[in-house]
Amino acid sequence: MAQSDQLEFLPREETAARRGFSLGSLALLAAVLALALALGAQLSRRQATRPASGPAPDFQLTRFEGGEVRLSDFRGRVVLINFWASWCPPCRDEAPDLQALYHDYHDAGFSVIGVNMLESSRQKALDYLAEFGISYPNGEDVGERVTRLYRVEAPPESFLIDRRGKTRRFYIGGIRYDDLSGSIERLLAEAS
Amino acid sequence: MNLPLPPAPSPMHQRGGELKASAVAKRLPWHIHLKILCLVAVLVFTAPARGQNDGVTDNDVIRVAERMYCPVCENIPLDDCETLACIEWKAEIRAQLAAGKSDETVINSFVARFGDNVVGVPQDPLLRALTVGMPLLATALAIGAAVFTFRRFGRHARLTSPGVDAGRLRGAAENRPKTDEAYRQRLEDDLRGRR
Amino acid sequence: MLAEIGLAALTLAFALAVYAIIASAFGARRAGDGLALSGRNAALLTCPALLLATGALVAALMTERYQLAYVYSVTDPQTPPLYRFTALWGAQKGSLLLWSLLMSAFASAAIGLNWRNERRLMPFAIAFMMASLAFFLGLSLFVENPFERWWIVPDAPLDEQVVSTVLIPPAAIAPLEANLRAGAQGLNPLLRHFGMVIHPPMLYLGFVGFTIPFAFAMAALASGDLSSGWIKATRRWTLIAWICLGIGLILGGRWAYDVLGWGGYWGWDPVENAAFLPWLMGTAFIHSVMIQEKRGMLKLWNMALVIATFSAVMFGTFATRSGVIESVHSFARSEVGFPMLAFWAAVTFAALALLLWRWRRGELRDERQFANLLSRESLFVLNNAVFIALFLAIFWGSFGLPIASELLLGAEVTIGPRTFEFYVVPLFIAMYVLMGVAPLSAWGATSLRRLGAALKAPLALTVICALLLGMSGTNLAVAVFGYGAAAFAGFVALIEFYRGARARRRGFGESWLRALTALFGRNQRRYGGYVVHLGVTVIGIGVIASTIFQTETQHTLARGEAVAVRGYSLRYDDYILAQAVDGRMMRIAAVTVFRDNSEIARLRPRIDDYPQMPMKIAGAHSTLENDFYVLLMSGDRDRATFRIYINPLVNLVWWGGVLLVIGTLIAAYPKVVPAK
Repeated sequence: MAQSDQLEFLPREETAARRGFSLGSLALLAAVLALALALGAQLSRRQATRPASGPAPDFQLTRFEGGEVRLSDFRGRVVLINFWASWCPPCRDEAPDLQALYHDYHDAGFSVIGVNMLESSRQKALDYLAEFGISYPNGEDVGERVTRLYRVEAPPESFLIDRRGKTRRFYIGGIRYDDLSGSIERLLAEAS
Repeated sequence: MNLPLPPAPSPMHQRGGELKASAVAKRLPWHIHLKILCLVAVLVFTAPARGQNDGVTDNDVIRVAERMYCPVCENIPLDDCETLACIEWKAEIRAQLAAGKSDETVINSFVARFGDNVVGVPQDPLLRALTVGMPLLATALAIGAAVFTFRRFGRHARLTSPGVDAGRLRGAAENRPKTDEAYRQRLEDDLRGRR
Repeated sequence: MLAEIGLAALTLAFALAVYAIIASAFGARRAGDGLALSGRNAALLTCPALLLATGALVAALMTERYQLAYVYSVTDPQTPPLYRFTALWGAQKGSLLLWSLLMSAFASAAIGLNWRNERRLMPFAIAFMMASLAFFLGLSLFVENPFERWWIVPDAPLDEQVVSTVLIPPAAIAPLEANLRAGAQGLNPLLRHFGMVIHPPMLYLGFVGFTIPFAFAMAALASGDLSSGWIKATRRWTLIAWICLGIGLILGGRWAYDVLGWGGYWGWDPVENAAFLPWLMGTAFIHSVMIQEKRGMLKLWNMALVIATFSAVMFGTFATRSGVIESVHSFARSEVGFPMLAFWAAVTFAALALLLWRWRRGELRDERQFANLLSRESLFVLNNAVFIALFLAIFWGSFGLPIASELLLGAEVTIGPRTFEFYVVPLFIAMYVLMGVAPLSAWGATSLRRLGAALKAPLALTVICALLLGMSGTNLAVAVFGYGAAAFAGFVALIEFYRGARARRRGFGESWLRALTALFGRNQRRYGGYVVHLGVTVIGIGVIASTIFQTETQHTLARGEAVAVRGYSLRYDDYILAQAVDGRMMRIAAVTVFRDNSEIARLRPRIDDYPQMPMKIAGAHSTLENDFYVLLMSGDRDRATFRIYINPLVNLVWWGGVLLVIGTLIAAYPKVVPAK
């Protein structure tokens, strides 16, 4: 081992001590900052809550029967955005009430947009619409875009939008006719 | 496994002030309960699937489902997920398999409708390239850095100490511990930490 | 009263930590100054103060003071005493307090043991330790205070009548005890498991433990004393932190295996990975510091590694507690996210900047250079490259890709086990190979011939094993390579024991047993390390077998019917409904397991219906060969659906963990007799 001791002993080149940072060091430090910024952006996205007040984010949905429905087209009307799925029991409970509300207040300026989320097959959604005789616009949320935009966790969730396009109330769970009718009437009474 | 972290239903700190109730006792995390009602299958009511003569076994469904995730279930494989949405999806997988579709077709049909977060390996070409490419790049960089370290020092050694060559190394090799005594000696040397 | 005591103690601890930072930082500049001594004493006092604060919270949990919002949120009147106690780490607030207590205990121990020998470094180290303690105490005090209480303010608007606050609001009255009891929420059922009693504290010990080497490294950088003193002072602390984290990870796996009901123990979930990442970095560090100790090389790199390890710890804490990424295990989203992110970024940036500045000044020059590619230090550098690659790949899959995709492409992605297996399999095989080769090569230089000669025996044994495997029908290349690499590393460790003992036996005429014990006593680190390697080999074999050769199958059986699975058969005997003492309903299936037509076990897989969620608890018949693991999926008296897993050699994962602990203890145990 003595011999190998000798050959390990290698003199080293002396370099002058320098101050400050090299370019690589600066890049490394900048990378730490960039990572922190990205994490911060992601965290604030994650921490964002449902848009339960303020302007309702606009979206576009392809209706089951074809054609597009866009939230901004309903400006001037009171709109309920309802997220639903055919397998969700509270959705089935509220469906007749929603249809009845739509029927009763449609002419006064109230609309419902049904957003079908996490559905296993299109046919099940169509069966559901037929079963409850739903006539308001409905569409499948392809790619979960609207669901994500509104940060919906599980159906049913609903957002009530006033005539000026602002979210006024947010409902989690099934809705009863009587719960909603008062709010609708109040919002309909407001000027657009 | 891991960090203990309940979806802690602290009544005050639900997100975004959605919850308004007026007595402590009422401040049960009702929205949690509700979520359970609508999302979590109440297993009491689900009798075992019986007699489905569609030629698809539970194992076929598991085989596909264990490669998938439900988009609202916090990273639980579809296979192990008992929410109503997941049960519904598994039924759809079964139906599609019974219709003679291949595993890949079934998975792709879900990806097309719900996006890449329903599978454990992204299907989108760009995402897939990133998934596979970056770790390969990282590995290459790590090994490259190690090799660079050796090369730099190797050159340094040759420049400053021309005596270090293969011949001397062979000399060192002759010293390899042939006997137990030598081996023991080497251990002792090692212990001393020749600094 | 408990809340007031706890709050006062917590505030005191925070004040002490802040004072300790200031006193130590100023005291460090003037040696012998009483200021440094005073800073040390303040730092030591944080521990009793936090003990008091934690004690108050535990007392509140045990005595059901539901007015404390924390007690209200994690226990209810049905909670049994053991889980009342473990509820201390059942949610964010309590676990942050426990975290601070453990950190303060570690810091006190490090101060007590190193004060005299590292007089120069200590004030700096104390300042750094107290800075991270103060940060966590600040979180506890100002963001997630565990001593908040429920109050009713009758004069407030309807929405704000019931509040939980730290300070008593004016004109507030305490809620009725009966209402509080009725509303209390109970511990998350997932946490009611024995593994959860030990797993989180172990993980926290591991996490906070890495604060010590980090603080000493920073002290070295700040003081300019860049000898290897900081490594000597912290070697055992690093090992202790490392093994606590390791135990935490393994117990977490065990908990998942028993409780989560999916037949596995590691799901590559981002939060699991967040705890694994610091362990990988720490492992690289443990190996790399040896090069500096023995050869005075890689000084810059070791500093970088210890900074990266601590940074990974802070990142893991942030990722787990902030909800930045979707995971099965994350804490409820809370306000701690941004403060933790800021702390992580500040610590990482400052530490790195300090390191690079010292380096630029030429103060981290190595004493020797790499002379030979086959020397042990070179192989250790390769080992480091493998660990860094593992770290980067797992980080990318868990955080990098999902976050980049969401931010830049607007697409959410999930990265599942298949992707991670693709990443880690080749790297782990490389790790095992290096684990086998490195111990055989010498510091400084090794010739190919010498290394080749040393490799002959273990390689021969490995080849024989691989051939036997092949003959027994294992034809999967991944499995053969995986087993081969792991076995190779194990054989090297065993042969080293044998050669060392034989040398002593012949040299001193000792008996085998005596030679072996003397060997361990003489060089604890080396042979303790080999025991750890053996443990990692055993774990590796268990993981390969239980991952690649797992059997998973699901069957619906009528009562009295049986199904055959790989030489076993399972008969559904009975269905029982029962209620546990804590009120939950249990649906239990009684099944009998046969092997070759003889009964080997009666199992009772069950579903526990907690108010929060149903939980599937497996019935398992466990032998060294495999676990027969059965879950009741659903059922009634007539029929039930079972999912059956056969997990070969899965117990090796736990037994390997035991070896890991033993080996680490041997390596870290203070030297007793300097025998020859």
